[in-house]
Amino acid sequence: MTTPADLLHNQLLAALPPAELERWRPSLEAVSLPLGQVLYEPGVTLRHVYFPTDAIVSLLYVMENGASAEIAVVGREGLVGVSLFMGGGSTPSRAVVQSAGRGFRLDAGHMNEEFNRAGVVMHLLLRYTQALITQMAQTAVCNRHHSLDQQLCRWLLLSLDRLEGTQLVMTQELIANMLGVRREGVTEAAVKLQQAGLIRYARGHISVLDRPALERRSCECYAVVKKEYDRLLPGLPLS
Amino acid sequence: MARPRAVAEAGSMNSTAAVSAHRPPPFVLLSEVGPPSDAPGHGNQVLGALDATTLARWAMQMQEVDLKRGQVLCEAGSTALHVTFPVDATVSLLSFTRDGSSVEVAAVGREGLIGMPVLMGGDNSAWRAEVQAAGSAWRMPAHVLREELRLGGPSLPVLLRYVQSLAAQMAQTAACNRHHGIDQQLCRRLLQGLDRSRGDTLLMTHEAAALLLGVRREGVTAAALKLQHAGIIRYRRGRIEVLDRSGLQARSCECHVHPMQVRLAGLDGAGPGPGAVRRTLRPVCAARQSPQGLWPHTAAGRPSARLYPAQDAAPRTT
Repeated sequence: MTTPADLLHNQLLAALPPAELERWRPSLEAVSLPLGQVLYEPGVTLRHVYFPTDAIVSLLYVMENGASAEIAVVGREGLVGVSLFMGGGSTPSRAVVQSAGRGFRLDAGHMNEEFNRAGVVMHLLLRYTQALITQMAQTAVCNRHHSLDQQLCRWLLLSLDRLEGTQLVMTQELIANMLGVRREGVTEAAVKLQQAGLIRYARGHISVLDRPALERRSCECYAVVKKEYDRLLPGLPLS
Repeated sequence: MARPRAVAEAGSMNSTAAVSAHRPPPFVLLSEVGPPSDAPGHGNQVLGALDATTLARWAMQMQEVDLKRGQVLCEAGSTALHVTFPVDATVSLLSFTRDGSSVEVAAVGREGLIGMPVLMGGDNSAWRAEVQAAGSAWRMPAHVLREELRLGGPSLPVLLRYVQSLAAQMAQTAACNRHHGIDQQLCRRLLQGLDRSRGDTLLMTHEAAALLLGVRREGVTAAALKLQHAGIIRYRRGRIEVLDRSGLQARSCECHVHPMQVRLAGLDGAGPGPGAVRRTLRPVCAARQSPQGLWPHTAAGRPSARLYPAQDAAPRTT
């Protein structure tokens, strides 16, 4: 059953006025989000939005030839499926669970009903969407100007902010899809970080050993995105 | 004075047809031939997709402006005082890295608006909005948009749909910057410019293109030379004339999506049927589109949705 404490682990839900959350509660379905699950594909009708609590979801852009690149990360600070209330087209991306965990989902009908009330909920969701868009834009900058090494650091930090603890469990394949490289490229990048003492890496298990060093090694894109999220969603500090 | 305004029927083609008929020759700024003698809002497709009531209200606060190349509409980190709806100007949303490198995260023309952060409630823009191609635009005070958000009015679906399209363009750019090279990216960028302007000429130097793409000028020069040798473009003193648009499209990556199309995700894969064509806005530059016609499929074989399907977007009720 859905307990109040679980719901509040998602920070958007926690930011709702209590009366609003009470109204949503019967429709919020607790779900498990296993590693690699695809929440939606481009071209498929969205039936739910998801509010992760301790899972991390990657929004991946997939090219015609199958090459992919991560556009943004979503965790407990947000929701997956903004296109539902933004209407029309949407980010042409695939949403994949990058780090297993749990969350809640709300069906399309209820989401739109709540959004269309045009009150607190709409304002909160639009500000969240702006933060998400800013993250996407920063990824565009990062992919143009920064090295794979820096991008991996940035991504590790964004992920850590969305989890408890310092452990990340992913698959090499998912990391490769996220970075848009072959698996060998992932191993190479991760080994470098390990050699520098920043992480311990073994077949998809990543332990971050030295977070401050990770922040120094990352490009500024991590800080830019974090600052924007903190600004747009006050009272919801990440990490 | 103004002839009867056709925009009252959302999705009307008449206003844009009138603009095409008076199309000035390339290179000439709109102010040199005088402003179009039409009612406020026409020529921009967000405004053209609005309901009549909202547009009438906004019209009282709108003025037409001539945007000059290089003009900064809003600096990064600040809040726009006005919302701008380009007609035949193109505005770049530029991001700068700590070491001063730049990249254009999106191009905005007649399909859109500058002022998304005001609409979304975050106010401050993370990017600089700088005019890349001069032209005319409609402008209104930002508070009008803010009020619209507060009211949750019938314009919101149209506006949010554009924001979705903008986000899609940024997502596309992120992926493009990961996977595609300068040759393809230059083609993509030239096409984006053409989509949003009149004629086949872009006033763009190699330096400007380098700033937009976030590469060295030498890289742009090399790529442009290749295109010139292939007879695709002619470049002379800052002016790029496109001689072979379909050649440009053939060389572009898939990341060029016409601004009036949106990639589908979260909607049924089926595009609108032939009957829908009559109800929806046709892009102003339809005549210059690729030979594929009005409903070009995406390269993946899926038909694209229209950015502003007019009548089928029911207004929100609060």
